[in-house]
Amino acid sequence: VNHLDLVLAAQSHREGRALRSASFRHRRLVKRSIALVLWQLGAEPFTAAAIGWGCSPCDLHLRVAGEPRNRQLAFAALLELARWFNPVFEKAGADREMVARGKLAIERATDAPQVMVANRATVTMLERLGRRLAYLPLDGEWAADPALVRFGRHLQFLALHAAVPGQQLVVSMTDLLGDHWVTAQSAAERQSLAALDAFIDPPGRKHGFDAAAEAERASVGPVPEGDEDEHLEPLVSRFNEARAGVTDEASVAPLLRPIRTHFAPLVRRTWDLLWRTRARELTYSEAPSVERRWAEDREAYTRHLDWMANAGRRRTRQTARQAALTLRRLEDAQVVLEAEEACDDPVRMIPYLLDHKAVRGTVRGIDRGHRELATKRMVARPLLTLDSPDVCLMPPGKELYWSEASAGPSWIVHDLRPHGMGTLVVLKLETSTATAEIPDVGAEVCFSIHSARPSYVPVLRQEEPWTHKPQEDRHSGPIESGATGVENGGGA
Amino acid sequence: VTAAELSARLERIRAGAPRRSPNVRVLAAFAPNTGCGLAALGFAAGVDFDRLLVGTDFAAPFGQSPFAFERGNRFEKMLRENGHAKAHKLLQQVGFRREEGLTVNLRENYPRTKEGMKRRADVTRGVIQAILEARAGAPNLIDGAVLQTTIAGVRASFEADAIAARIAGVLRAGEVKSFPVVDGRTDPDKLAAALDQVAFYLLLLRRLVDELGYPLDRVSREALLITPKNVGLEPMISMQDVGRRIDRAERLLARVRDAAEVIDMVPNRMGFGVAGDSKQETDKRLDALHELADQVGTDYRPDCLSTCGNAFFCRERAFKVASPALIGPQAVRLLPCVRSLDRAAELAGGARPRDEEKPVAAQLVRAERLYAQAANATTGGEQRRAAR
Repeated sequence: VNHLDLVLAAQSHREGRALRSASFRHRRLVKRSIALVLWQLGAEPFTAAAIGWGCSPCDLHLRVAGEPRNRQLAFAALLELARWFNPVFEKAGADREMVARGKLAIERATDAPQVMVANRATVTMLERLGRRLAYLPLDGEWAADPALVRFGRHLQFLALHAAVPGQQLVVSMTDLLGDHWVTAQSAAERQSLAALDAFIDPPGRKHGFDAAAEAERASVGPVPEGDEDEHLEPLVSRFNEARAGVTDEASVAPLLRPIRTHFAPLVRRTWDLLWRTRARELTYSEAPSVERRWAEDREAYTRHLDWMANAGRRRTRQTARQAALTLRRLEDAQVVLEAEEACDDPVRMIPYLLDHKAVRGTVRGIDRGHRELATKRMVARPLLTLDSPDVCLMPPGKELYWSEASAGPSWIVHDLRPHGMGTLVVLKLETSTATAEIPDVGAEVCFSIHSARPSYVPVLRQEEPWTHKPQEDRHSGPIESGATGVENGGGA
Repeated sequence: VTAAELSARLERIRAGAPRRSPNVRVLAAFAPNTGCGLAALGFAAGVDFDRLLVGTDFAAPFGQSPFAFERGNRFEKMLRENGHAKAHKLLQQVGFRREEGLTVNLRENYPRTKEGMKRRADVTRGVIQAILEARAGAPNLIDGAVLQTTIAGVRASFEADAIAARIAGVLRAGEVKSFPVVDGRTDPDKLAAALDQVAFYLLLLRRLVDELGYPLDRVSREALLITPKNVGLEPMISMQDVGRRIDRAERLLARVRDAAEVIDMVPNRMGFGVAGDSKQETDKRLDALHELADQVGTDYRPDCLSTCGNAFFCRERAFKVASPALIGPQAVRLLPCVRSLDRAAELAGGARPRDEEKPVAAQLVRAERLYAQAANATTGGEQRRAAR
């Protein structure tokens, strides 16, 4: 929360609708997103009771498990999704291009799939399903269908990748809206897609607050809310009585109808909400840096497919080295994301201007002839005088970057002078002009702390530098219970 | 005021509104809301806020899933079967020795009334005393203990879901929860709630041990947690340090306003009766609660939405006065001396600030101006970028 958020929240409260906190859309939305809607039973987070999927608003496939606490029934439902999902998800990886990485050249898919879900809770549910499916045995008495395991590993990848700031392979619609709209709501309330959407676009002449209060009563999934499960429970009991322990497709399918009827309107509601909010976001133009991040997403996706092709598995818990590198990667991605968004979008730059981490103004003059003594000889260090309408409270020596060339060299705050209501800021380029882009005199510019230069990536040794090490990969195995692993929980 | 007068007065304030049996879970959920007069009053009077406004638009959304209920019951029942055989076996992993004593189960054979609670509290006290004295044959596992303590000047009994065990002379508490633990990880919110409940239990145990005149280190500062491992119901036990949660619990309870003081703010005829009476007209019920809330004050924070049954009601009140608390505690901190969101919008629009509003007003005005400029400039900016 910063002062811009507060001003927008205050206005949002006064006007009864949301305000945009960005002038662009900072995430890609691909032509054919894979939309997934999930529902679980209360306190059964590792199994899906209902699943909706499809690639367009009018193409919703709905499958209910009937008794999701029964492993076979749960897996039968997931298998149907897996058989549809795997080819769609993998298709984009077929066409490859070569890109240079230093002296090496690597392959990168020219396209990538995008999975769209309602909220972060659905992403963590995908992660849990992935955990459950990815390590199922492929042989023996309880052999699972290979498509199911493959699906599980895709989900694992997606859930891991979803943690990368600014990534676009997994779109949590609630987070996407939350990143682009300010409403007079708390962070927790904004986690309900229905409530957030109602505040953004209140029906009729309603105040967003009232619209949201009404909308939040309906759940979006995957966790059932209110009395949903109370309505479902008798249906599941009757279903279990009718099937009398049988799990084969042919005998069970005709019994699913009442449960399907229970879930159909719930899933449909979230489904429509997803596509409607998506359509609204598509009307905003995409920010320029999205393309670069999409290329990174494609690279990660390609790596995953190649890893799968080599029968590579993932640990459920990373080694210390992996964890350190992952954390580093996520932090770097966050820094670059903030920089790119701020440099792309004047609205995103405002919090930094307010915080004196950026300064804007008109270029009054450029002194290319300024020279100063480096270690031995005099070198060119051009000076730029910026006429800022704001009071600038930066310390001399602060490093800044021109927001329209943020990958370029740094500028140093050389001198500050009050000038009318604003400030005259003299910036010194930290290199000679030979390679650097310099703004023209008279241009309106912004200098900020944001640099898009790639940061130093540390090289960590393979071996952890301590003597006491945990047991290797204790956890990567199936999580089904018991010797038979058939019935799990109730509903036998 | 004597204790009897106080409890009679509280009973009149509850005035037939739905009652909530006091247990440690309720206490843990109430504790963060101690700054709220209405919550303090309702807690002291034993009003069930989750059911108070049933039938109105502000009814609490906390329904329990029958599936969750069934799962929890199955899991707990399994641990209690055959004289707690499974629980014993798990506790042995952390040094429990079954042969050292008996298991006391207070969940059975006591009526669910005030009198029953009182008797259970007495038994609990006796058992703890015996354990502390290291009497031969003292019980070493208590299920369904009831602990008494004084909160806000009111003596109340709290039933614990957790089990307490004596391990090497130290009292330990363990909560039985049916959420799965996979790869040593679990739902962080549920885990935090479970640990808080154990922390409150341990705190009540510490108070009892202190009352009995024994050193506090006879009560552990670690929580035991019995959960299913992976997706089945196979139980496992884990341990977590909850020392800081106990300290926090203690701080929170110390902050609870004295019930007598809150009661003094309530005029004689007022109470929760009308609000909790689902036969009355909705408007009348809400008006009655508003009147009461105006008397004792509320303290809405977005966190209330997940813990307090009255949160929707209070949120509506906060909305009506455009309280910055609607956005969250950070917004309240960033708007010192600005009483409402409407005022913040006015200041941002250039209204003359009062002296104490001046520092924040300057920032708001700047933010507003920059936003307006950026919005105007965007189309131009896009063209500029295309030209480059």
